[in-house]
Amino acid sequence: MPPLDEVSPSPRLRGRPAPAEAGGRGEGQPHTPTSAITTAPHPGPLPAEAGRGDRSALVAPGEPDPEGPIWQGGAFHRDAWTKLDGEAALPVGPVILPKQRWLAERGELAGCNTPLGLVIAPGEALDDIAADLPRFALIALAFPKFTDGRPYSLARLLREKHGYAGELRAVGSVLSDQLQSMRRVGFDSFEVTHAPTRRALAEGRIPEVALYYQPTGTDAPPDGTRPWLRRRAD
Amino acid sequence: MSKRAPSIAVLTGNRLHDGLVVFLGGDGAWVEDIAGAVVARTPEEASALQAQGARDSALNRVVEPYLAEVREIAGRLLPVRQRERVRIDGPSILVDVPGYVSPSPRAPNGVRPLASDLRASLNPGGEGSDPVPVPVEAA
Amino acid sequence: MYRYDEFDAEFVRQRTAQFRDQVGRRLSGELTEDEFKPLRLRNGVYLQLHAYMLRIAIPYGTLSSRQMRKLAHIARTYDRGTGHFTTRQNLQFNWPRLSDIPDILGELAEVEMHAIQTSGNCIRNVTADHFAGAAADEVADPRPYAEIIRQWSSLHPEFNWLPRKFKVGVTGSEHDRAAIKTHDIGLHLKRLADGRLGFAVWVGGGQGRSPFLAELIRDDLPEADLLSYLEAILRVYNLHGRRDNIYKARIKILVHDLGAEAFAAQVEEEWRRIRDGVLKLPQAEIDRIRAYFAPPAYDERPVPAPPRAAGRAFDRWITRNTHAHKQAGHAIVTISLKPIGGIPGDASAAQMDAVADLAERYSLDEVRVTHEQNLVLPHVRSGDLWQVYRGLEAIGLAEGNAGLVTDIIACPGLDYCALANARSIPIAQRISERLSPRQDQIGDLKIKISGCINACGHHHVGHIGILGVEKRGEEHYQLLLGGSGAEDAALADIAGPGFGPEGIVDAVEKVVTTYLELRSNPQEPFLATYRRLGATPFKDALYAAA
Repeated sequence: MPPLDEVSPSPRLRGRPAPAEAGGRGEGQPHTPTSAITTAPHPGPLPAEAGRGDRSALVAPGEPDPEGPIWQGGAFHRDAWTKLDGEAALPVGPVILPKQRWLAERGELAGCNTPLGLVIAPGEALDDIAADLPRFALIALAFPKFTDGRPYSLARLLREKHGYAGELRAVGSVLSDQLQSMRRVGFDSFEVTHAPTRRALAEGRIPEVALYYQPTGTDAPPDGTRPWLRRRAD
Repeated sequence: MSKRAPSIAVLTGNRLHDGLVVFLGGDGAWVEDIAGAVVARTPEEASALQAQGARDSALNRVVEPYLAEVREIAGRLLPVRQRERVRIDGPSILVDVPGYVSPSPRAPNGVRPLASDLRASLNPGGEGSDPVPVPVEAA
Repeated sequence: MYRYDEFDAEFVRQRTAQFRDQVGRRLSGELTEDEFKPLRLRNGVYLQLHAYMLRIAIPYGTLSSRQMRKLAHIARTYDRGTGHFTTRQNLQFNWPRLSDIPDILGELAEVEMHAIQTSGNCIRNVTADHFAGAAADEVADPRPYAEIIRQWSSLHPEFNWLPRKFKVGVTGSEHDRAAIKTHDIGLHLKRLADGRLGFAVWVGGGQGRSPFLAELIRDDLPEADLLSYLEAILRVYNLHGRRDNIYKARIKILVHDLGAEAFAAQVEEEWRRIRDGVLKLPQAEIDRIRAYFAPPAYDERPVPAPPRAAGRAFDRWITRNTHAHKQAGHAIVTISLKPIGGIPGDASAAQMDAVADLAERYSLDEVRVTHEQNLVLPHVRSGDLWQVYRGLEAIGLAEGNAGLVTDIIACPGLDYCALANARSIPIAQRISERLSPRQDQIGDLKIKISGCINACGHHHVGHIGILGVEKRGEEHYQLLLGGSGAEDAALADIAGPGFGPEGIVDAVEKVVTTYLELRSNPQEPFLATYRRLGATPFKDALYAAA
């Protein structure tokens, strides 16, 4: 365990707010999006590493746009991804598939050029896609109601058990007062449609409690989490 | 459901900032006294009340409004359900048990506790009074 | 007792500021009631029949005199002069204004108190044996672990939106005064086979519509693994607890549906993955927290015996309301908040101030709240018992009825609670009045009354339980017999058809009379008689045609 002074912010705490947003002490540096990425076709075996810590394989956020739906890295962006419903054919560009669609068409999709993302509903399992996770540059976890807390556990399992390092996005009912918890369990982008939440984000008015009693993530926790590592006032 | 009188209702809820019980009154204001409440005597009138309640709820004038069935007896509106009687008259706790000094003898808004639940009311304290302070004896 | 450091104090300050902002957005209309309600619940704010209600956390039921005085001040300044101590060792105020609540929370923060997570589908106040750190029969003080769990569970980002509420209770004695088997997680602190401290872990207890007693899922959890094991339990529950029906959403339903073994297997699988990670408790941390709960500096001068000739009432009070202390020359004192005919668990501001004075002067500045709605002075010198008694007499709280039939547990019921179907307080008052003349003769008998199926009065584990329901628009009461929340935990049996508000008082009296007739000797308590004879003689007395 590194000494407290040397604990560096967890690299997994991505999407950290720009200074305009209320933030926690000792948390990660602001997210700097990497340059746009293309994927080469991969015939045969699944393309590896898209979701595995290799930043150059990630899909960059869409253009910054105050009307855009995606809050990421301290700003609103247009969505670089398309959500695929039902049986529609794959569009051009990064596409998010429902988990059932992926499982049903895994064979055909294996050789596809496009960056793929997955959207997982709260009651769905992770074990049947665990081996495929590196394939996805983005995973979206859906909050049908903001009171459904299952995606928080799914997020932690994705990050901490399965080592998922791609973009983890919260979609559905995403409101001001849950954003801090979502970040702490590993979400780094948010699809926000609730108007008061959008205003609060734009104005930097998300009130948070910047001290944490419990660690999340598997990296050495930042200052301000584990009680026994907290600095005392004196 | 009363067999004596037809089903009539008032719209009631809680005031947002202090939570106190209010009723939708004749001029669209929310009042604390049921005597000032608008009475719905037909299903259409009841629906109209509920619609007004929904509008006022969205405007934060009231929280969680709902229809409460009442009976009109001798010109007074009396709620049918025990729940509504308690909301209007305050907690029904007995305050007149011999030898017991209730710490909270007052009902809200100065309304008397339900006569049907009490023997003669025994209210030792006046406004703001507390029981005698403890004399802690010297060791 | 635990003292906040700068981290704890700042945490509560920030949480209060966060809630103040949320209240502001509600009052301005930016937040709808649907959006605000889950947020206000997580700060202990209910909307009840007459007004808002604020539930203040009293972690493991422990208070200093300074904190008790602050509660009295809040009762006087922001409420109508009283508070109600609850069956989870918390305190409720019944008349706060929403617009005042941020200020109330600010005042509470000054004395290291808050209302965080006292409601909502999250981890609630961790309760513990109210005699912790004092009882002669204690193996180890459970409160350091309750404090560690409290910290770990505070604004836990993963477990703030559980399927349903989550309650943890801890005992450090074989005699379970914390009723751990009625909790979602019950922890029994004890010595493991190797002599070190650890826990038996019970999961899936809970009352309400479908009551269950907890199942033992691990008998020998080392103390260092406490948090990782709890995290594994909570994660399994968060993912797999039902969310389609609030009456089927507690962990007790999951444990029952899967079976204890299958449930335990899922927990153990997750626990194995995280057991040696960041949640492993260093011994230094356990010791650091335990140091806050070190035995106080007892006054060890010899003490004269209390004047037992001082009167029958004092003798009774000594017999019923004092309990063996681990330190020679000391006693644990129960302050009954159940004066005959009174409102169970209520105390006025003046009474709270007086209790604070007594605690500061005679109990090393400590008070406890019990889940049976009484208070405790945990460290009283035997020689001071007379002074304490006189002090309680002056404020009307000297009834020597701890554990007797008039020491009734009752939820606020339909007089206050928006969820209730029937009133419970007047029923308690009438029963107390009716049976008080015979209370000493009757002996140990716990009556517990709930005004609705949510069972906040814990009626399922009353020796006599009463459940208020609504039947054809009228209040109606079910009678239950033979429950217990102690180490011999059992769920009470429904006796038969219910009764009206007058009838239930008569029915309780009939049960008591039957017990007095049938007990094998005056020392056989009601529960033992019931277990010996079964329900039949009581049913016959209640329901046989005259």
